[in-house]
Amino acid sequence: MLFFRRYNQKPSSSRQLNNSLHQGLVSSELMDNIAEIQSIFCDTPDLIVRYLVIKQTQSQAALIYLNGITDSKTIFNHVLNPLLFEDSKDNSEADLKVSLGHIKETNTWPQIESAILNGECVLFVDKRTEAFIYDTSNFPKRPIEDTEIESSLNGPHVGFTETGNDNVALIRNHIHNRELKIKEMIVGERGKSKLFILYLADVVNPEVLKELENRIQKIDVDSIINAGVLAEYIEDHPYSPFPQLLLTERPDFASSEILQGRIVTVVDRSPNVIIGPVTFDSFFKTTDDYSSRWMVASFIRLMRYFGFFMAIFLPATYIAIISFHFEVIPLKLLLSLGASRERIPFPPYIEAFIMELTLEMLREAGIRLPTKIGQTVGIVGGIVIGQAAVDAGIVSNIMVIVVALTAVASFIIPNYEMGSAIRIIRFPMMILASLFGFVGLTVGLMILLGHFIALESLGTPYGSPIAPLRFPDWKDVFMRFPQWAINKRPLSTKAIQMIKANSNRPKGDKQ
Amino acid sequence: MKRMCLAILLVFLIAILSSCGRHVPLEDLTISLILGVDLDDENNLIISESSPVFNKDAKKSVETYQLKAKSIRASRKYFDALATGEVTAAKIQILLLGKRVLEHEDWFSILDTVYRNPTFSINTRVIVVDGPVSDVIFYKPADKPQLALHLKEAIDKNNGRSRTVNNTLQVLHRQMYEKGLTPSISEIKKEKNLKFVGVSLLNENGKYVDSLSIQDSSLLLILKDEQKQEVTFTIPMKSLDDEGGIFNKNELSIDVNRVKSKVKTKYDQDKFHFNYKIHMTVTIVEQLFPVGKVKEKELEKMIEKELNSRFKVLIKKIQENKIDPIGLGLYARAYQYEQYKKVEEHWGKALAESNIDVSVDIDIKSMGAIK
Amino acid sequence: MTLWTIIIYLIPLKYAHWLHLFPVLKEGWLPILTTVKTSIFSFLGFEIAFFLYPFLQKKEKASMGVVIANTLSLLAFLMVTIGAFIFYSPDEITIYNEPTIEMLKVLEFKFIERLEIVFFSFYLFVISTTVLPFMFMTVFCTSQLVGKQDYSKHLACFLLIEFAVVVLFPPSFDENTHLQQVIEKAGIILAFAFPLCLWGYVWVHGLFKRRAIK
Repeated sequence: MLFFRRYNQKPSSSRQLNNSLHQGLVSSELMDNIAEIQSIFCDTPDLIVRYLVIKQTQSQAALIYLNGITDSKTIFNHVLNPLLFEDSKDNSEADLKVSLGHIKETNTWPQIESAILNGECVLFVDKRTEAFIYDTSNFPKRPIEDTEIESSLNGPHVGFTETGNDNVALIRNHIHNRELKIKEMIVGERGKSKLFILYLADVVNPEVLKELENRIQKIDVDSIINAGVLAEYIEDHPYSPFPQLLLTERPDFASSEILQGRIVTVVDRSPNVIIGPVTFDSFFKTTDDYSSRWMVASFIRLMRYFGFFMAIFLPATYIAIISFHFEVIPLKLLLSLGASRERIPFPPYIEAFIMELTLEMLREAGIRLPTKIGQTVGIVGGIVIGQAAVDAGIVSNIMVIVVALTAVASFIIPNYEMGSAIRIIRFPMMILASLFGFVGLTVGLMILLGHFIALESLGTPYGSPIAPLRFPDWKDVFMRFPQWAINKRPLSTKAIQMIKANSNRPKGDKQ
Repeated sequence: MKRMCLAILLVFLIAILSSCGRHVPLEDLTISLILGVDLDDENNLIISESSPVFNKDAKKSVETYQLKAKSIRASRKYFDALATGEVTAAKIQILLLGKRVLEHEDWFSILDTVYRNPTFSINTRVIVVDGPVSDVIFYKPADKPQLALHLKEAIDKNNGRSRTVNNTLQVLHRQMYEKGLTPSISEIKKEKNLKFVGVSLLNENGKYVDSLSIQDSSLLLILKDEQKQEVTFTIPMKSLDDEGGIFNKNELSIDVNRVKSKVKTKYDQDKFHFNYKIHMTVTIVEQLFPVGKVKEKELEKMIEKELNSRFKVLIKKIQENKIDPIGLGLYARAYQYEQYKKVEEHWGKALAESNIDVSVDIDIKSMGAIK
Repeated sequence: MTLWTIIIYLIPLKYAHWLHLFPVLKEGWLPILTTVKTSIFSFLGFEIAFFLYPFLQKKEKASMGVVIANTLSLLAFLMVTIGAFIFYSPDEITIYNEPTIEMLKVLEFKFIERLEIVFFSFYLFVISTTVLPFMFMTVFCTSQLVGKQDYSKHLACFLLIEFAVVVLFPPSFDENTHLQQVIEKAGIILAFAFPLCLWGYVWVHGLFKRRAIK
């Protein structure tokens, strides 16, 4: 009983926020207001309350802001300086001289509270029942840098940062059009995160947009820390291994998807934006595909699809062949396979699982460690463990080749999420193959395909040009046709305006 | 929760199912690569088998067994008793048939399991051994790869150079059952080395009747229209007056680039008439007699004459033995069905009585790089 | 999707003997006409259109679709049949149970041998496209009979029954063939006789109705 009693101070299961206090209005007494502020922000050492006398009106005032998230230079130069020293000749009572663009007035406490938390500074003036809010916010932020995960050869070297406004600006930079609409939404009760939904109003399908908004509105959580969190809340099939919304850190990619008629959701404080609705083939595209020549791009893209199948089925095929269908191996390969497998004490599926799991662990270790140590881990894992395991007779060298090929094949997928999905799908396939051989593989493929066909992204079919067969879209799936040949937006976006280019091709002098 | 239950149930069911699967990893198998069928002196059936040994500690890389058994399938249990792993027939590359087997009629039924059991590969090469099979299957030359590999490569290469027929089990089956065709199988002999000696010809019941030399096999392949990319003939120019001497001064080698053969089938005066017109485009690759001795046109004539006479000898041999390795029965059936239907059961005899003309037409394309 | 299986049937053609095709119609038309009955089963399936018709969005294209689908399958069957005819000699083809399957056993590439093993496991995929529509129709129709839209429960029941039948009475090769013949007959009746009866019924019904109005 004692054991239970110790925990009987249960955390309350219903989420209650301490919001309902401080519902009153701003009082005309300055000191009352300060007391109120201090009761709201108790235990807040970075709260700064600066008393001053406004030179113009000679009235008592207090400027309140949170140190660190405000720009102190702006406060000194454009708020304090004018207030303290400027004396206006014309005695207009209404305006206080502040050389700032964005000024609000309010008299409700919740607004004041959120303004302070947003890095704005609030000016209370004695005998006045409204507070002035000056936008001086300057959250710590990172400069715009090159992308780290989705690097590109000849695309722009600009990545999204953690500041939502900057990210929106980066997209606007690509699309100077008044039809680029931005809808602002706020999600999260405690950490209110700002979301910006960007789309081309005359292109995007309104139903899809509505669907996205509805889903976002239904979210009721404390905070959205990252774009990935939001994506998980709004995606259609959370039980699917495939990602149904695309996260990218490349503004050029995001803008090109907006131009295709898709919707981009920028999450403040996240360096990724969410693109939706997407189709399966979006995960195999990069912006480099469009900036390199079309034959090269098509070749690389075909290779990615090939790599996709290889990464899923290669270890499984190996298991199936070794344990069930050795007949299919040509004689010479069979002899060398047999010789290399001869010393291995484990059945092939255990062998494969050992190696695949080792590889996955190495990969994860390499990501989390600092770059320099990460490289060492790679060397230790790849060379030392691989070689030693073969020498010790734990795995065959063909298995090492298979694992290495699988790894290379899964690295070729440009999208990290899709790459991880493949890594996961691989294991059920291996189990199926070790139980039923090729028949198991076929069943696995069937299940995968069935699942793939049933998937949806924001209510639009996920496997679009392949699963609902839409041949006009095939120009940009396995092959990338020359740019002038792709003059329509993909059908999968359900865009209300399909034509995106004139199919005329300028031919230099000959025209 | 419901999903979880379902998933667990599914995994459980799958785990039960897995017990039905045949599941032996590669290294635990004894994979037969050669299967030999022979008769001993008292006409007992002898089955032999050879398979690779993967273990590095083993001195020999091949294990070979030979034993008496009632049938091929029955032999497996005895092999299992001898070999390390489970003996499997799925990768048999070569089927060796002793000539003693072929000298009996109706030997083909012994191969029934090969066709009935789906684990057997149908692409197994069939080779006739002139002499006892054990001589070949236990032969382990120091300068060759494993026997199975060696034999397979050798027969494929010889077939690629149109020197011998390539008989897989599938082809043999077809030849045994097709009434307008009799089987022909390539033949090896173990003397000092193992070598291909030509083609054995069987009659419609599968009984061995005669053999063809390597050179005649090429002619047979041309008649069957199955020649591959390179056919080479070395022909003595007998009509040149001088004797060859030590260095065979009258020899000529030609490389046949293209063969076009046409068969005309007629039925006339209670006889079948087959009229072969073979047009060959050749390149001269070797000419030991001096230049200018013969003109190109004459040369063509001489080659034609020589080849014609060779074809005649071959056809005579075929007709004497009442067999049809060429497959003229197919032509007869295709073009003279009414008549063929009557003699279908004894096609060999009908062919022996029929009239086969071969006329070769040679076209020299090039005399080579030097004059 | 099933297209590649047909392409695979093109490969054994290098062992083909075109002479086997001659003479065409050697025994006259009679044996050909007698086999129509067995081959007709392969073309069944279009009768599903009767049941799906109310759900189609573009009804005028339905008959077109049926014709195109059956023409495609006709071409595929024709190709495979001719392939088997020229691959086997007419004397041996009757020996095999499944000549079209045996035919694939000769397939061999440099990198893969015994291709038929791979092929047949993937054939499961192809054959499922035959089984699944039938299964769907069964379940769909029973749920319609009961008057429910949701057919997932019916599907579960159906699969359980099927599973139980296979476990309790494992069908042998011969029984399978027998079953197939029964279904063949049923299919022919359903596809050809049933619509005629329906048409007759509608006609008679119309006749009576018109009389009643008069």
